[in-house]
Amino acid sequence: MPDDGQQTLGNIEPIEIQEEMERSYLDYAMSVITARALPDARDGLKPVQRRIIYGMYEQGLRPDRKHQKSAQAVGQVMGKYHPHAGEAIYAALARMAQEFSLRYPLIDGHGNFGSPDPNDSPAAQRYTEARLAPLAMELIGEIEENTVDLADTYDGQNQEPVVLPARFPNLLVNGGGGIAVGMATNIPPHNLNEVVDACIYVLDNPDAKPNDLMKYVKGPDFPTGALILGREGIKDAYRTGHGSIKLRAVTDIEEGRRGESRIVVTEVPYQTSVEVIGQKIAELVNERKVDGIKDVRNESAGDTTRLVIDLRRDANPQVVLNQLYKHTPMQSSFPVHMLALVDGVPKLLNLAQAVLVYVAHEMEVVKRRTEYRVAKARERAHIVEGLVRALDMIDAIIELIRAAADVDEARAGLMAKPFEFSEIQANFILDMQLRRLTQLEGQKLRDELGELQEQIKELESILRSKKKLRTVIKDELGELRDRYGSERRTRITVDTGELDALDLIEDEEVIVVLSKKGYIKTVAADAFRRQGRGGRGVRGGNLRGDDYVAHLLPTTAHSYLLFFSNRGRVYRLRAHEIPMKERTARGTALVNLVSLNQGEQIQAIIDTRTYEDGAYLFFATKKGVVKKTRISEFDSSIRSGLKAINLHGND
Amino acid sequence: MAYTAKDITVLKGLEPVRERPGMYIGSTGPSGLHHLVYEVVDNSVDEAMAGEATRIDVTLLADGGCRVADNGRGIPVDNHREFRNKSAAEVIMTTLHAGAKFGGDGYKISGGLHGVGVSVVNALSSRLVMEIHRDGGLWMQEFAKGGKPQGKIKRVKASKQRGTIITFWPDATVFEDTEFRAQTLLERLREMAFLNKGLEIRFSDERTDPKLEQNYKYSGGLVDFVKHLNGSKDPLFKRVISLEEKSQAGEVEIAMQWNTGFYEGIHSFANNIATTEGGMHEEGFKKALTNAVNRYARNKGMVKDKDVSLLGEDIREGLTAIVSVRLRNPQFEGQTKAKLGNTEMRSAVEKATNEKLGDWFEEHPSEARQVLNKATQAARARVAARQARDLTRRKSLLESAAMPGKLADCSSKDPEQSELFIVEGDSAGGSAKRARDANFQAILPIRGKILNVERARIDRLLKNEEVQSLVTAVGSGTGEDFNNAKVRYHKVIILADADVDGAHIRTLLLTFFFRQIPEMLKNGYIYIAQPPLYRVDIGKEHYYLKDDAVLRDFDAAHEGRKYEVLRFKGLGEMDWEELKVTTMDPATRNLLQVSVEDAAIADEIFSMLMGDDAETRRHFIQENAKDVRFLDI
Repeated sequence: MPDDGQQTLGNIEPIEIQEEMERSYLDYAMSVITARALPDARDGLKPVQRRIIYGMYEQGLRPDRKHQKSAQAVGQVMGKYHPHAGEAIYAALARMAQEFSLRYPLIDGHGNFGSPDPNDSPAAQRYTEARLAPLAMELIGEIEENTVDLADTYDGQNQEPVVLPARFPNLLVNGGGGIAVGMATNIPPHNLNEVVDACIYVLDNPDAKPNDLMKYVKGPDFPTGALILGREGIKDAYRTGHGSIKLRAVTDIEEGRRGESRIVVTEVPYQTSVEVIGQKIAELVNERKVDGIKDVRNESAGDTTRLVIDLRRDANPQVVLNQLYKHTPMQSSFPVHMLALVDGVPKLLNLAQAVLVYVAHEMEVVKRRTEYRVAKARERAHIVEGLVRALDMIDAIIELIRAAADVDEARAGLMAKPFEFSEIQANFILDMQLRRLTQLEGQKLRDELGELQEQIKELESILRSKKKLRTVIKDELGELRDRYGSERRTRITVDTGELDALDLIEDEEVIVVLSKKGYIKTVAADAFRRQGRGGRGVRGGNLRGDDYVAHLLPTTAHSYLLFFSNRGRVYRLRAHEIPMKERTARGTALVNLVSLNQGEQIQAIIDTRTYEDGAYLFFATKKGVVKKTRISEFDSSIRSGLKAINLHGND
Repeated sequence: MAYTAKDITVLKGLEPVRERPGMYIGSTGPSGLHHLVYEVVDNSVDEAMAGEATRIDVTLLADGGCRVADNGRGIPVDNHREFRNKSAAEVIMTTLHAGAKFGGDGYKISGGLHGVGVSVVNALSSRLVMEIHRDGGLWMQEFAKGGKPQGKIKRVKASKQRGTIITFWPDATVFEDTEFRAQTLLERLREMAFLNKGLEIRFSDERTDPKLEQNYKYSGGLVDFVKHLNGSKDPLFKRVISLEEKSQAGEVEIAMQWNTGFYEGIHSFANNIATTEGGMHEEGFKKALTNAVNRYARNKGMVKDKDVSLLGEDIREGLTAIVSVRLRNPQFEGQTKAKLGNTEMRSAVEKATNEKLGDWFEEHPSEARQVLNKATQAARARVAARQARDLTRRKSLLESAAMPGKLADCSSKDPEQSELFIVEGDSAGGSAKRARDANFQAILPIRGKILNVERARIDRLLKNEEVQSLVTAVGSGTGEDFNNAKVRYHKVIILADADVDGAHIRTLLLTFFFRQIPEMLKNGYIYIAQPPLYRVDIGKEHYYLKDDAVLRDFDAAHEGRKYEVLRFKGLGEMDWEELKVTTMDPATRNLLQVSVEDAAIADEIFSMLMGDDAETRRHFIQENAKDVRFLDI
C-alpha cells in the first residue's frame, strides 16, 4: 500500500510552524480565559460552577428536597452541560459546599467534604451527598421567568443559561480565584451585608467612586475569620482592583502555673490550616530557626480551631510569636487581583466597577422579570374578563351551546356577534364548570380581575420608571440581606508595620568587649557568672600577644552603641549586630562592622536606648577643647561614620 | 488509446504556473498565498538593497487585494530588445524567468529568488494592476484572469514621483482560501525591516475597522533584531555584539547576544532569505565562535587544561545570533533549498568572526567573563546530561525491550513508509490501534499534557517518562545526538482531540520537537492529524466536518433539511471505524505537514508562547484575540 508513496495519501497541506503554534495556542488561551478560569462579573460564577448549579436545579436537588449522591449531580452536569473530567466537576462542587472555602456556601453538603488541611480531601463522590443551599436558589431562582438568555449546550441537545439571575452580588460575596493563560484572578470573599449596602448605595448613586463604597465595604471577610493588618492593601485593591492584603492568625498568650507561657492560635488566615502551620513550626524548631518552643499540639475539635504552642520558661512569648508570624503562614498575604469577564472580555475591576456591573445586571433581570409577569397577568386577565362577561349573559350562551351541533360550532358562535369572545376566552367558557355559575364563584372571578388589573398597573409603572425599578431591587436586596446576612468574621486591625529584626531578637543583657587592637565581641551577661568570695575569676577572653581589653560595656541587645574614634568620627551599631561569642573567644575585627580608616582607633563607647531630646554628650579633648552636643544629632545609621568633632593637628 | 505527437503539449507563457502552482509557490494553501506577497515585496527590497528605495508600503485592501508600493526606480517601461512591441515591464510581468536579476548589472545583489519572479504572482491573480512612476510619468497596465494583459502599458499622466506599485487580487479558483492573515505577513515584514537597516516598511490592513497599521524601521538593523529576539528572554548582558565585514566574497553582518536560557538560536540569512538548514556561512560562524572563545579563555588563564573543555554546543547555549551575508551568486542546496552552498562564504565569515569577536572580548572583559561562566556551566550540565542519558540507555538494555511498552509498533522497518501516531490519552490509543494499518502505522499513546520543554532543562526533561518514551520511539536521539539514519518514522503524526485542550497538547508536542529534535521539523517529518469536530447525520448518511466554519457552510448548503449534529469532544468518542475513515486512512484523511520556513520567527514565537515571560504572552493574546478560531464551551 504505501509503495506508491505520495499517491495514496489523502490530502496533505503544509502549515508553517509559527502559524500552527499561534492558532492552537490562541484557541487554548482564549478558551481558558473566556470559558474556564475566570468568573463572569455579573453572577460571579465560572462556567463549571454555573453548570453545577443549573444542573442540580434542573434535577430537583433543591433545599426543600432530600440530599442526593454527589455522583448523580456530577453525572448530570457532565453529560448534559460540561463535557470535562468528572473529577474536576466534583472538585468544583465540593468547594462550593466547603464552609471554609466559601464565605456563604452555595451547596448544602452531607458527608465528608474535607477540611482546610490539604491532606483531608473530600470523600469520593459516591459517598457524599449534596443539594443546593438556600442561597444558591437566590442565584438561580426566577430563571423560569425569562430573566436571562439561554444558549444551546455543547451538543445542541439542551439549553443552559449564559448567566444566572443572581439576586445577590456573588462575585464579591464569595470571591474566587483562577489561573487562566497570561492572566489570573483572585477575588477575596466579602460580607454580604456590606456588599448589599454598597449595591443599594450604587442604585441611588450610579456615579459612585470606590472611596464612596469603602464606607460600606470595610474589607474582605474571610470564612475562616482571622485578622487583616492595615487598610493600605484594601484601599489599593478597591481603588485599582489590585493590591495585597496582609492576614494574621488570631492568637492569645496564656500564662501557665509555673511561669511558663504558651501561644494559642484560634483563627488562621484564609487558605491555610492548623496542620500546615503546625508542620511548619516543627520544621523551624528542628532546623533551630526558632528558639524557645517546647511542643506544638493541635487541639482543634468540632468547630473550634486551637493550636497550642508550649514555650520554654526562658522564652519571650512575644518574640517567639513575632518569629512565627514571619516564618509561618500564621501571617500571610492575600494577593487581590479582581479580574472578571465583562461582556465576555477579561477586565480588572475596582470596587465601584464590580458593584456597578452587578447592579446593571440586576436592572436587566428585574426588568425582564417584570415584563414576564405583566405578560402573564395580562393573559390571565384576558381569560377572567371573558369568564366574567360570560356570566353576565350566561343564558344566551347556554342557549347557543345547546343549539350547537358540535364544539367547533359552539366556539364559532361564541366568537361571532353578539358575543365576540376571543378564541382563548371561548375555549375557557366551553371548559367552564357548572359550579362557576354560583354567585360566590362569580364574585371571586370579579375580585380576581380587579386584583389582576391592580397588579398590571403596578408592574407597568415599574417598567415605566427606572426609579421604581431601582426601588424594587433595593427592597429585594434589603430583604435578602436580612434573611441571609451574618456578622463579619475577619477583623481589621492596624498594621504594626514590617517586623524588623528587633521584634525577632530578645532584648537580653550583653557585655560588649573591645580590645586595644580592635577585636570586638558581645558576650551574654550570664556567662560571667557570679563568684563567691575567693573565686579564681573566669577567663574573659583569649587575646593574642600584647592585646588587652580596652573597653568593657554592659548593655542590652537592642541598645545603640556609639563608637567615638581618635579621628573625631562616630560610628553607630546596635549591640546585637556585633557577633555574640563564647566568653573565651577572641571576637571579630571591628573594621568588619564599621568602616574604620587606616590607623583609626576607638577612644570611647557609649550606649543609649533612645535619642530623646534633652540628653547631651560632653566632649573633652587632650588639648582641652570641650563642647556639648545634643545626643539626637547622632541619630544616624551611616555605617561609614559621622564627624563628631573637628580635631586640629594631633589633638 | 493512441499516443501521438498531438498529445504532447508545450505550456506557453504563464500556463505552466497555473497548471502546477505548487511547483512555483509551494502550495495553494495559506503558505502559498502569502508567498505571493513576499514575491512582490522581494522586488521592492531589491531596490532597497541597491540603495534606490527607502520605503515599502504593503496594504491589504478591503476588497481582498494586496498592494505593494515602493519608492524605487520603477520597472523600465521602454520596449524590450527581444520583444519589440512589448514594454520591459510587460515582459517581466508575463514571462517566467524574466528580470534584471538573471544577469546584467541592474542589481548587484538580489534576494528575490524565492520563486521565479513577479510573473508568477500575475499568473495566479484574477486581476493585477501595475503602476509605475518613472521618467516623469505615471504608467499603468492591467492584467486579468491569470496574467493576460488588458491593453498595452499607457502613460496616464505626468508624475514627478518614482516607484512601482503592484496591486493584485489572488485567484480564488487557484487558492483554497484567498484571505491574507495579517499576523503572518507582519512577522515576515518585520524580519525584512530588521535585515535591511534603515528600510521603512509600512503595513496597513484596511479590512478591519479601524484599520490596523504597523510601521517597521530599524536603524540598528541586526542589533535590533537580536534585542527583539531576546526581548522575551533574559539577556546575560546588555550589549549586543555587532560585527561587520566587507570582502571580495561579499558582505558579512553578525549580531549576537547571550541570554540565560538553554537553547541556541543561531539564525542565518543569505541575501535576506532565511537559510533554515544553515550552510557555509553558519558553519564558518560556529567554527570561529568556538575558536575565539576558547582562545580567549586560554590566554586569560580562565580555563585550565584539566577542566572540562568547552565544546561549541556549550558556548552556543543561550546564544541568540543573526548571521546575514550578501553575495552575488548564492547557491541554495538541501531538501528545501534553505542551505547556502557557497564555500567562499565559510572562510569569509570565519575570518570576520575570528578577528572581530576576539577584539570584542578583549575590549569587554566583564561580558567575556560572563560568557565563559555560562559556557562552563553548560559544559558541566552537558556532562551530567550525558550521564543521565547513558543511564536511560543502559536501563532499556537491561529491560531487553528497547521500545517503550506503550508503543504499538508497525511491522515495516522502512522509515520512509512508517508512520507514528502520537495519540492523546490512553482511551483513544485503543481505538487508534484498531483503526490503524499495522503494516506501516505505529501508535504511541501519551497521557495528559506533557512537560513544557521551553521551561525545563535537558536533564529534568530526560527523566520525564512521557518524553522518554517519545524519544525512544522516534529513535533519532535528541539535540546534538540527532542521527537522521536512526529516525524510525518519516511521518510522525500528532493526533490530539479536536478541542482546545487538544490544541494545547499540540503546542506542547511541537515545542518538544522544535527544541529537542528540530531536524524532524526541518525535514518535514512532523504532521498534524485533523480529526473532525462534528458528525452530521442525514438519514443514514454520515458527514464528518472539520470545524465550525465547515459546519456553517454545511448548514447553508443543506438549508431546510432535517439533520442531527454530533459534536466530538474527544477521540475516544469515535468508533474505530470512524477514526479510521476520518483521520487515519491515508486515502481519506487530511494531514497538515508542519514546516519551519523561518527558524528565527519560530524561535521567537516559541519563547513568547511557551517561555517564562507572561507579560509578552498576555500582550500577544490581547492583540490577537479576534483571530481565535473556536472557543470551547
